[in-house]
Amino acid sequence: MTDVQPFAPSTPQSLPIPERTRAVLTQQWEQLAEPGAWWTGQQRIDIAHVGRAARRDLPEPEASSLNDVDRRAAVLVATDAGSITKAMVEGFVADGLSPLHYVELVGVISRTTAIDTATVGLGNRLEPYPDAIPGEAHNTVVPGAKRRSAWVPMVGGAGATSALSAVPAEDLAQEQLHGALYLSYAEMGSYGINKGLDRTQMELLAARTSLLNDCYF
Amino acid sequence: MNNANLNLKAVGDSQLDPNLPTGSQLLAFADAIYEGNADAIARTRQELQDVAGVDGAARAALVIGNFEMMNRILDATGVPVPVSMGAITTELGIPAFTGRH
Repeated sequence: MTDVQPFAPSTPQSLPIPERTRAVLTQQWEQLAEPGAWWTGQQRIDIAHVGRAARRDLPEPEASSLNDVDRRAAVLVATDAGSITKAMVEGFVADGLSPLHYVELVGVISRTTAIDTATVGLGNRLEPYPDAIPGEAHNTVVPGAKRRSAWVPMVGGAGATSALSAVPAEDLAQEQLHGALYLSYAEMGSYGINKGLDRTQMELLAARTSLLNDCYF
Repeated sequence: MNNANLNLKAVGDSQLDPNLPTGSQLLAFADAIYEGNADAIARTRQELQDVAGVDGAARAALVIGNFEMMNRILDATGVPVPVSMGAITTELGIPAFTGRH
């Protein structure tokens, strides 16, 4: 019996993707299970489970390492991020979820949502989450990360490429996934690029998806 | 590809033709993925594949996934919406941004 590779075509309708893209998705899944900056691997997997269950109306695992505020934040980011306000984020913090825990949670939910969405769009079955890798969170603090015009600490000005910068591993994972799914940050300046679709076709999808999510970026 | 006649209002109005090769199929696929109906996803994927090819349809699924990520990151962290976005809402045929952030 041979092992089925993660993110390989899993149904007769599955669309193939470039091997380098599949490699990034596999790497993202492996990183998800590792201890993070502020959550253990098990907590990160549980956050992903809560998000997937909420988005897809699936049952959550009976056992969870998350408390109520962790779970509420995960569900909200997964299902209705467009409704989140500054007061809501401050409420999570007041209830015990630190800003840096929140940033990492946003990264985990957002990336797993992206990968699940792409997986279903490609015609594949949802990829099972990996087993968590034991170990403690490494509590990485980034000097200079401050809350300025946004609701969470960031390094420098607030923007799409700095939103998760207070948690460098999440920031890097976002950049890698962005490059695999859409365009690398370097490619963003290229309007003549074609990756199966041309730039205008990709931007049309971006605009429609953002509108559906009530996101104005 | 000549996009001079692109109709941006189709972003906000499903009844309009974006005047872009594969544009209608791309929008229908994005809508189906957002709604989450498996039959509609399979149908619109095939319709897109018929006009954009396998690579085009696969890239569409990946791009939609990317913006499901970016939308959440930006909205959940409170990155301020650029003022310039307010100016193009009419052009896109979408409701004006009310400054939630």
